[in-house]
Amino acid sequence: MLNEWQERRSEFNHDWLKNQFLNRLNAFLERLRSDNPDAEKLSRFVREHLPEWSAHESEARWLIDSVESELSPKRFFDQPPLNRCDSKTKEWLPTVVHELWLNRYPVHELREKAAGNLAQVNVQYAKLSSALKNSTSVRGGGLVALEHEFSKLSRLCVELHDTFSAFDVKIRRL
Amino acid sequence: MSALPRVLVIDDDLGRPFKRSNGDAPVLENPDREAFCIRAGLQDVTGDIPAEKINEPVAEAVFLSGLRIDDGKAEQAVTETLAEIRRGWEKSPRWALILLDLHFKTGPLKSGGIPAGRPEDRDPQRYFGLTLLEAISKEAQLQGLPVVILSAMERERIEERFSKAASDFVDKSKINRDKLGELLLEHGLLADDRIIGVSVPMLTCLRDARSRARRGSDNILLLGESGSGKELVANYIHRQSPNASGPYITVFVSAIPDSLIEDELFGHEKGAFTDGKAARFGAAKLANGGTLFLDEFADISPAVQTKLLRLLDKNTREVRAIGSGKGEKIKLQVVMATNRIELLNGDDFRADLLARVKVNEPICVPPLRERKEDIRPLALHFVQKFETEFKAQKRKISDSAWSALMDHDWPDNVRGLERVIEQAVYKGKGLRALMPEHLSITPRVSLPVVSGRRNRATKEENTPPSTGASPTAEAQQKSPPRLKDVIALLEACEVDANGTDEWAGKLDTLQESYGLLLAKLVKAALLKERNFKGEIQHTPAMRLLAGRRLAEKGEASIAYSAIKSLLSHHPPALAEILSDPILKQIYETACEKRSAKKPKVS
Repeated sequence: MLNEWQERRSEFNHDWLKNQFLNRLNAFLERLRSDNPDAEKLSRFVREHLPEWSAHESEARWLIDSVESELSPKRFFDQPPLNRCDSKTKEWLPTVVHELWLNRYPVHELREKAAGNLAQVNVQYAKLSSALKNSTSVRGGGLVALEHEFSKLSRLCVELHDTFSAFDVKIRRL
Repeated sequence: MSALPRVLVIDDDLGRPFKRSNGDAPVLENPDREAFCIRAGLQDVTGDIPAEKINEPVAEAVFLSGLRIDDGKAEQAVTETLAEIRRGWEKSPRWALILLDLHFKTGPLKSGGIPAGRPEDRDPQRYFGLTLLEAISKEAQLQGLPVVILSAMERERIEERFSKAASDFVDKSKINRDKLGELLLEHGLLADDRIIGVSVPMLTCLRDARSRARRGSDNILLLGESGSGKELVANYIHRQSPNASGPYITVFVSAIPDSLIEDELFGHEKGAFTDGKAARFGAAKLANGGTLFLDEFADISPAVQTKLLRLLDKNTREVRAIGSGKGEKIKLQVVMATNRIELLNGDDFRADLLARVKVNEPICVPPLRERKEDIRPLALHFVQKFETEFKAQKRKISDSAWSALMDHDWPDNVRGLERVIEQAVYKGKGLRALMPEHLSITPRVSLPVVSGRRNRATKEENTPPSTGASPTAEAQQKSPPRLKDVIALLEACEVDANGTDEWAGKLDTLQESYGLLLAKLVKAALLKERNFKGEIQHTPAMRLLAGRRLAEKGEASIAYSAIKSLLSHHPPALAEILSDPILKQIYETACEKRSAKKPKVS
């Protein structure tokens, strides 16, 4: 069974980022590249679906901030049978287990990478949002000119998704 | 133009419609499905939401959620989903491919109608997609249905469970037009514009053919009964290969005498023969960069087999023209067809040649009796074709004629069906309905039972019954033995020198049986070689029976002699044989043509 972090990672990374946001963003790009793009569909993506990033960004941040504590095997001391250890042991053993885990599992590197990916997505999203605000019209030509920026957002989202996928699917037993 | 292939997508997110308020009237939609269709080039034909028109779609798609809603909760719906799968598989247009998600969210519906999900939904051992996959693979009637897993979940942990039943595993986010096209070509059951066939056996044969054609440099053996469409499949292999823009050269091996086959295949240099005034390219060189199709490949003699070895070696692919001192390397794929697999397995073929032919990996072209679903489109096509050709009245095929067509076994396969329709249209150009009586469907060839046989049967009936009927005898009562079995039995037959009771006095019986068998063969050949007007063609029939041309000159006259001699092999049985009107007529013609005195009929 998955723990809370993995549940939330799955909901953000798989269910939302990949199956919804990237799916719709890539379809938007397909439309944008077609000979005769449907302006209403393009406009609707920009109006309704693109801003969903702002609502889900905090979830990505929580995942990054909490990954070390949530994936650490010291969590086993919170549940049976290790929670029955005496309090003296609990003072030092979880810390040792955690340190051993950090030595074997590159959680810091992965976390830094994910944080970097998230920052890049945020920058690109802000850049696009600003361009769209300044654009006189989101219809037709205005959006076509931004195709490169939307493609970049898609690529950065894929990188963020892949980094989140690289985290363990289970808490490791040492 | 073939219809678009139809794909079934089973996915909880893509399969359900959502309500969206649009002013006063709520509309049903699914933005994720719409986006998926745009990316994959799928035309949504589910009908539950208004579908956007896709430019130049790769396929059409039906979407299923795999779930049912009970009391505000989403639950896995194995039975209902299987019923939908069956419904789209039983008849054309059938699923060309199923794209199946792994993880389905169940449980109470949240706002917007999305299930909240249960912890067990995410357990790889309990993925609903795998449950469905296993249910599909267990159903006999769904055998052959290609399923591709559409997911990016933890593949390694479930590899064992899905790899036996699924054709492929693809990340949903990586699906686009090109990827879907690849999946369809590799695993899908796709019809072809130039081959009439929508049945599972035919579509499976085409998929196997596409798979083997992919390299464009393989040796491919096509195995199928006479008239089943091997030549069309060979051409399909060419069109589906990377060599499609190259030449496609056919050599009918059985029509070329042994003395000429080498020249036909490899050509000759100037001066190689006494009358070889100019160099000539052979078929293999002409097919360079394309496909060489050797029809009736099993008819190649042992002498020519040796010369084919270098051509069929994929590493060398060398041809050497007659009279040339050096070989030349060429690039091509070689397709070989035969209806006589037993020849390829026999002693007549060199083992090293058989290995290069890949005799153990043939592509089997199914006989028409195994793809009866195709009889209807084929018959309609032939009716239309011959109505145009003979400037005949447009007609309908009556229900009873359809029944007759569907009930027949079609030993001559598609060619036999074409001939029957051709005759029917030709003989009734002004008719507006095709009835069973217009169809000259050839029954299995049998002759009247001669008196001697009847006597023997009576004698056997008078003998005391054995303790139990032998299984072989029972089987023979159900269906008469085939010729190849009879030949095998005769060859294996042993005669005990001490058991005189068994064989003494049996010479006449043996000759009589042999004579009757010869007459059956003659009749079968005559019936098979009738032209479209139903007229018997003696020479082609004898050529067919002999398996070769009878002579360079005077072939017709030799054919008449052969007919006369075969039918009168055992003169005492001739009267019985000639009670068959077809044999009587042909025997009399043969006697006339040979201007010979008819043997005395006893």
